Amino acid sequence: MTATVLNKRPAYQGAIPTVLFIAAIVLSTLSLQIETGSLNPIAILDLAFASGTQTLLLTHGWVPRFVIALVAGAGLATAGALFQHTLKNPLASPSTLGLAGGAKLFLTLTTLYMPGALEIGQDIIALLGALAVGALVFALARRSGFSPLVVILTGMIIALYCGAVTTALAIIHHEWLKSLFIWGSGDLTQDGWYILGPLTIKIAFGMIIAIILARPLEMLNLNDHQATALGASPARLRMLCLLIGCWLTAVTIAAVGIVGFVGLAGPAITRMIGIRRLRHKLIASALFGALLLCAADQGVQVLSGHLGTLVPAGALTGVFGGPLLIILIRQLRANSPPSRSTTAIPTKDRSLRQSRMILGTCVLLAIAGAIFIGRDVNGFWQLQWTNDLQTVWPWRGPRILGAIAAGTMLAIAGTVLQRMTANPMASPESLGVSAGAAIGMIAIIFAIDAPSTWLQISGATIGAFVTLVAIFVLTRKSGYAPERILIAGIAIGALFDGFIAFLMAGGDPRAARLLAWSSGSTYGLGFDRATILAIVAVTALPILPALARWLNLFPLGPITTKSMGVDLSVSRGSMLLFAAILTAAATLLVGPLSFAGLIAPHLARLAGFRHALSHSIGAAFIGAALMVSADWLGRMLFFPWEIPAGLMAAIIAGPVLVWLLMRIGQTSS
Amino acid sequence: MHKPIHLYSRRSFLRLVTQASIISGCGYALSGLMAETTSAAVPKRIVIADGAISETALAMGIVPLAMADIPGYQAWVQQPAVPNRVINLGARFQPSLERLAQLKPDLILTSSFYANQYASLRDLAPIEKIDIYSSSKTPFLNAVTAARKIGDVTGHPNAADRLVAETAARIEHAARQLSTPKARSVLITSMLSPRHMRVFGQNSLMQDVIAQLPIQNAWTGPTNHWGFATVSIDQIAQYSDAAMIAIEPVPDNVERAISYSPILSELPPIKRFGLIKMPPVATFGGLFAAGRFADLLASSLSDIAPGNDEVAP
Repeated sequence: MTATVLNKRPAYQGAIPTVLFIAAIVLSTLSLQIETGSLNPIAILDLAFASGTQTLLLTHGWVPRFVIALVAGAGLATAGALFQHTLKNPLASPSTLGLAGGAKLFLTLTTLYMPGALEIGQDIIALLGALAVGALVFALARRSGFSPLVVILTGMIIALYCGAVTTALAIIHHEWLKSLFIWGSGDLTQDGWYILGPLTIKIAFGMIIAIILARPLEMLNLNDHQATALGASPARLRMLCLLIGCWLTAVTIAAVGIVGFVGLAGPAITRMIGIRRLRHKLIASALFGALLLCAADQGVQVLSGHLGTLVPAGALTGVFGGPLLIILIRQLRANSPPSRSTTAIPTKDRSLRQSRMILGTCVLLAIAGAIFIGRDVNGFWQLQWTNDLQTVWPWRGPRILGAIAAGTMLAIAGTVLQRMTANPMASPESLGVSAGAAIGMIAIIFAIDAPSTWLQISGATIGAFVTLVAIFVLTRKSGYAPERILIAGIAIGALFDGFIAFLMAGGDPRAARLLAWSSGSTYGLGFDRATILAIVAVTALPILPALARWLNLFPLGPITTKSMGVDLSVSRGSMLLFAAILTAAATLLVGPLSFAGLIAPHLARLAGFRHALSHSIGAAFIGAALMVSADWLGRMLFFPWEIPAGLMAAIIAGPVLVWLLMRIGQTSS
Repeated sequence: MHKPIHLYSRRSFLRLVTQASIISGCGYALSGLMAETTSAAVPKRIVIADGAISETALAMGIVPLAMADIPGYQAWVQQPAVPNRVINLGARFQPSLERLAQLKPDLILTSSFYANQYASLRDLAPIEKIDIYSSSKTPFLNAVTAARKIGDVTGHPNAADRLVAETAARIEHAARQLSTPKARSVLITSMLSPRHMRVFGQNSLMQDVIAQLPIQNAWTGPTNHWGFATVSIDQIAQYSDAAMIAIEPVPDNVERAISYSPILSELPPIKRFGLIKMPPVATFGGLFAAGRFADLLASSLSDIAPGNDEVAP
């Protein structure tokens, strides 16, 4: 089940660790020279035992920073290796379970509403947050015997949810959270040994347990029946493995902040050079993780002197990690797709006609509510009619129209992608097109002093187009294999996250605005753009019946589909293009608000829409209703403050998805 | 093979399209009705969606009908105080358009940084763009121009003259107080954590004010568009002659860290003068902030007790 290595180019594969090692040494030497002003070992030793500011900065700044990069990198990479082993997914990483999101949410809430509690220490609050999320994932996944699919989905949704709440708060209380943005971008600057000491003990503890238990944990490589036949309990083994991984992740995040990519790359390099035994894998992953983070952090120190702004290592690993991920994963071939949506989702015994009626009523109610219920000038709730409505209509109307259109398009794109990839985690965001659009927009915002809306849209269009071409080029050879597409999307998403973390840490005021846009806002939408959006959405509908046959076959797996006479490349390529255009159009006008695209297909299926065509149209209605209500709540709940619709959709729909998952868990156990 | 297909027939699809077009058509008709706005000769209903402009206008005695991010202003700018009757518009980069529409303003004051975000507002009221932080990198001069422009467009040109004169007087007073300062150079910072801070330099309002005083800004390193650099603690260790001034609010953990962090407690500026805290002043402010900063700087530097006798006079 685990991904295997193509041992075609051993020389090339052996080169990566060597290059990594050399890079770490060269960059460390450079930064040591910058720090001490010389490279003569005797002079450096003299300086280390002298007294004065320079010595202090060396012995209590540079040295602990060097060591903490190694320790944190090793901890994260070991955790990543454990998660990948347990979840049988080469894309699993310490961020899969959403621990970092939980830590950040706890810190944000404490900073804003209980600043006194920060006295017990930022690291303790972060640790509590991470462990709380870990406990929640465990509670939800326990019933399914820690089935990898349920763990991944639960973790992903909780991560999304925590991220949505945190971002919503960050938009409103931007100034108060400045220091948190630095924590969130993973800067490793040290001012003494007091963080490093306890961290080393905690990480060593976790790693030693993992290495001791590596032999029994190896059983997870077997399938559950084989493992049970050998007398092991797969559920218990998985729990143990996840528990150690969570501990390593939580203590590292608490101490140094969010450093994402290392936990994915360390184990990936290990797999590339062909290490098979779990114990060796863990040790090698720790080594590569340590080298990676060390090289990145030393590089940051060399770089930041020239840039005049803080370059946190965590953000940098995201920016460089994205492209690296694509290169690394090209070497891998998963024997089975990471997860399949073959898990049956139970549906209530209710006729389709009834579902359709309920759904139609919901959509109409949502639209009517969004149109007529508002707040008056003093903030009091009001049923707005005639004059009151006329005043706000030019600002409210386009947003409602835009939300309906965007919700529809994203839900259709999501349904197509989930069916095509047979992966319930697929969403319009996982295409990477929205992240590409966002990067294009960032480029425009930062290149030009005060760009107009249309200029920003052009930037985003170019970004989306370039990304789309890149995805097609990168996945063409594999016949647009779903795993490749999702990986490319994740990589581009990581790149974008890195950029945002970097901007937020630097404290640039433009970052807050970008944050609001990137969470999917219909703010400032005029009837001109909303109508374009509506036209694209309406145009998409008649294309659906043409895709219906493919969409019905694809969830059965590529072999079945092929045996029914479908050309995989052509069909995947066209569906990819269709989904990408819908996503891009929605993203360009209202931001990358894709949560509706993730959840609407699930809800539609739950409501009983099984056939591809009815599934996608049901999802479209649910997406529209969700986005309209989210947009309305976002505008009205904290009036005059606004929460972007994309975030609000995540906040409303997150609990629904978790409830849905618990039902999956119940039936599959 | 499945029944549902025929339920999405061509006919029902066409019906859907027709309905959708009717709805959006209605929208157009309504928006057309709304587009007419009247403009008065002397604007009375002024709304402001920029912190520095709010502060300047309030200092000139011009109380807007509404302004953006009042809680943020009260925490980070404080002076001049916002009267209770001013209505909050929400985030500066996303003021609530519905509330704006309901307020029926006849003039919107904002900077081009925010204005381009809501170009559609022009249908509602004339927008006046006033920039203090721009690529010209002269925030103090821009602040003077901004005050005059605010005076002109709101019909209070004398108020602008008064504010300019007051500010000049405050800076001059501060310069006299600082003729024998405790420290010749300063680092103006906003602490973020025990290890990170913003330090203000070129292109900041503070830099322009310090240039008019008999002291120096120690930070000559690169800064961003807004006049600050986010740095880690080791980057300011070399400025051993400078006094380090932290603009409040200072996070709690910074002061606690001074007791256990070897670098923070041994940092030359802190070891020598302690961490000097300065009451909140708008770090991206306008003319009033410039005067207030000069005042606060002078009193901070005359209050401090030097930790060392060899401070240059």
